[in-house]
Amino acid sequence: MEDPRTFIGKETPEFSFEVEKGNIRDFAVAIGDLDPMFYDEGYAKKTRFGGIIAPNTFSHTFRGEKTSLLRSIPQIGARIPQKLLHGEHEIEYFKAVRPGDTVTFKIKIADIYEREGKRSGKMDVVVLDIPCFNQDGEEVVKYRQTFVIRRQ
Amino acid sequence: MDNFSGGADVQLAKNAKVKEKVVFFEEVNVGDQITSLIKEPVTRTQIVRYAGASRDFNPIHHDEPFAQSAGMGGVFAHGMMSMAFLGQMVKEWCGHERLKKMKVRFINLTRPGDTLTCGGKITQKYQMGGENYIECEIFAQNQRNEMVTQGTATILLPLRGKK
Repeated sequence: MEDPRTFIGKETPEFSFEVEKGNIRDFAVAIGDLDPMFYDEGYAKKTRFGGIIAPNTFSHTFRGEKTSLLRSIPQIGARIPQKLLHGEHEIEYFKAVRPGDTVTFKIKIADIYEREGKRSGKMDVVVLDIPCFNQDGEEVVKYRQTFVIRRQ
Repeated sequence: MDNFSGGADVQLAKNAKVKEKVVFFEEVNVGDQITSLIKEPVTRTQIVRYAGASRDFNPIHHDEPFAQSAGMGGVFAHGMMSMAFLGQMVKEWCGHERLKKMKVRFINLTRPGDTLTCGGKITQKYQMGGENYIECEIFAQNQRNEMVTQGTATILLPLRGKK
């Protein structure tokens, strides 16, 4: 059987996501944050940002083929999505994400290891790194997602 | 919040909070609390809305038979929804785009009907490279006082009298 750890360093092709005003508004409504900065252009124009910006966890919408990447990992892939849990999430911020931005990103497998869970026994852990850039090549955010894949 | 009519825009305008808060570096100290945020109970409709808005359609969050057969005892909210609540708390406390880094662990699941309360406090205050930072512990707890999501936030604060 192929060792899943040989997949560390594997990277997807580049994905791109065009951020529309409606995406930002729908996300704000979904999280129950009705701050006009996220949907009211007239209000946002008069602030220090000069226009609408996205909520600070909006990068979760930059998805790409994350599930396919996880499914491709030997021995682990067959348990996705039913045994998949999101264990940790980290976001680093460099620049505001705005409507009209085209965000490009690749998803990279940063680490794969085993862990003993308190409740569910031995589990596999997969860490993904997703640095995201805007149309000017500036890094806007970088996020790191840690997934736990149960064995039972 | 749990409107299912799709008439969200009307609600948006009505509930708008217009004044952005500013917290200055000189005015905070280690041990200070971040103003807590009590969210409305999470509903199945909100979970579906979040799935749509984030395009995260893992069926474990909306498909009851699937969530049961996966051994999860039913559907539960995306962990990222609780992180979004923490992000909202930080933003409402000290303003937009002050966050430099936010890192969390998802400890317990949020079920439909659960009410999350977000809180936090300042653990470090320091200057680095001419910038003014604070480090905070942040957390979201449910109505049974169980820790749901826990982590840290690194925040860059402005100095008073300086943009």
